[in-house]
Amino acid sequence: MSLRLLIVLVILSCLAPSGADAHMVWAGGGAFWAGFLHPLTSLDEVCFLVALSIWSTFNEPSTRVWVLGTIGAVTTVAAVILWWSGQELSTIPAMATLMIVTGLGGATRLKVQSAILVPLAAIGAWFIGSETGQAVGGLSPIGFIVGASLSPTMLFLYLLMGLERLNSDWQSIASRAVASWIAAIGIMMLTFELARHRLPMQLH
Amino acid sequence: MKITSILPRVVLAILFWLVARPAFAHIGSGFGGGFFSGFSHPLLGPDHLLAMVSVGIWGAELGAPAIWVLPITFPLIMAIGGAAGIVGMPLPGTEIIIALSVIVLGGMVAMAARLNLVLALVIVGVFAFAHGHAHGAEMPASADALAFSVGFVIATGMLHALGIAIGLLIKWPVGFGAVRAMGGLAALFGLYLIAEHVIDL
Repeated sequence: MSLRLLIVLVILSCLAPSGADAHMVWAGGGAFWAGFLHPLTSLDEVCFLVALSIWSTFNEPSTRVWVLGTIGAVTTVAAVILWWSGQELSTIPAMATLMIVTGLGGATRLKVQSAILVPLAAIGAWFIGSETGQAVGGLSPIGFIVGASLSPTMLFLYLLMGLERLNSDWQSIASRAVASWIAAIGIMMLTFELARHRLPMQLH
Repeated sequence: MKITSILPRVVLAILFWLVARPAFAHIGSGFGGGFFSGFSHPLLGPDHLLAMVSVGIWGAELGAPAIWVLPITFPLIMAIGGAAGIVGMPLPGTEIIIALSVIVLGGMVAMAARLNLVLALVIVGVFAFAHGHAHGAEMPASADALAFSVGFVIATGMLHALGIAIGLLIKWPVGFGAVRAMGGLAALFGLYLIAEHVIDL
């Protein structure tokens, strides 16, 4: 099979209709898979992790390791606490704020100590875990929480691995531009959330 | 199979037509509709398009650090303007400011103006706010607001990248002339937009 044909077939398969996976909890693959997909289908969580990974790349390697561990641990703890307590927590304002902070940090290539980046990662992971804990529903909590804690950790790790390979100036500029886009989206998210009661028709 | 003969190409073209597409009966609604509505807004408005591309070109003409500072700053200030537009904050003469942005930014490209970075940032920032305000204010009522903003932020960033790519042509004398001529044409189009608004008034 020639490369051109392969490319055409890939494009065709992309055009084929498929189900809309818009932040839904799909239980068809079991609780683990439903949990695994949960953070990955949440725009705010993915944006936060992308911005955090970009910012982390501009900082010390030891800090990145601490951030990675923090994401996995805190996400799990928060998910267990929220699932066990049954509390409902609105995470959108916090995630939007975190998107702004981490986006600006990545865009400005700000050098910070691990004492700043790690707690920031912990706060973000807490809210990611909180959303997980509230979304368990009738599924197996262990499978769901393990899946939902693993996927953000893996996403962050893969992003770090990918970003560390971007050595040229242009690639660095591109990653900073993406971080600024995330901060911009965070600004709008926060505004929508704060204005939610004022413009209910547009914001829902 | 190598796609060198006509027949496989015809078959592939027919296959493309046969692929089922969703029906956009209520275009602009939901997350997908909001995203595409926001994404297409800067692309389909020639005033937005020319201003965004001009920012990228001007950044390339100014060189480092403006080449990355301008495109990074623009979306941030545009988002603030977009939020202001969505919550209904009035900005008198938005369309005039946007037309002015095409003239000024196109003019900067045409003159290859080497302004101070802070001054360049102020100019770009003012216009970014106005463009964002227009995007926000013109958001379809049925569109998902967040998806709409994600769409126009990404489209704007891509237009800046296009501008930077065009701006890199200045390394060659012919390219430098062509880029400046493009800036001049953009500025002329901006004048036409201003004239159009004045006649409307």
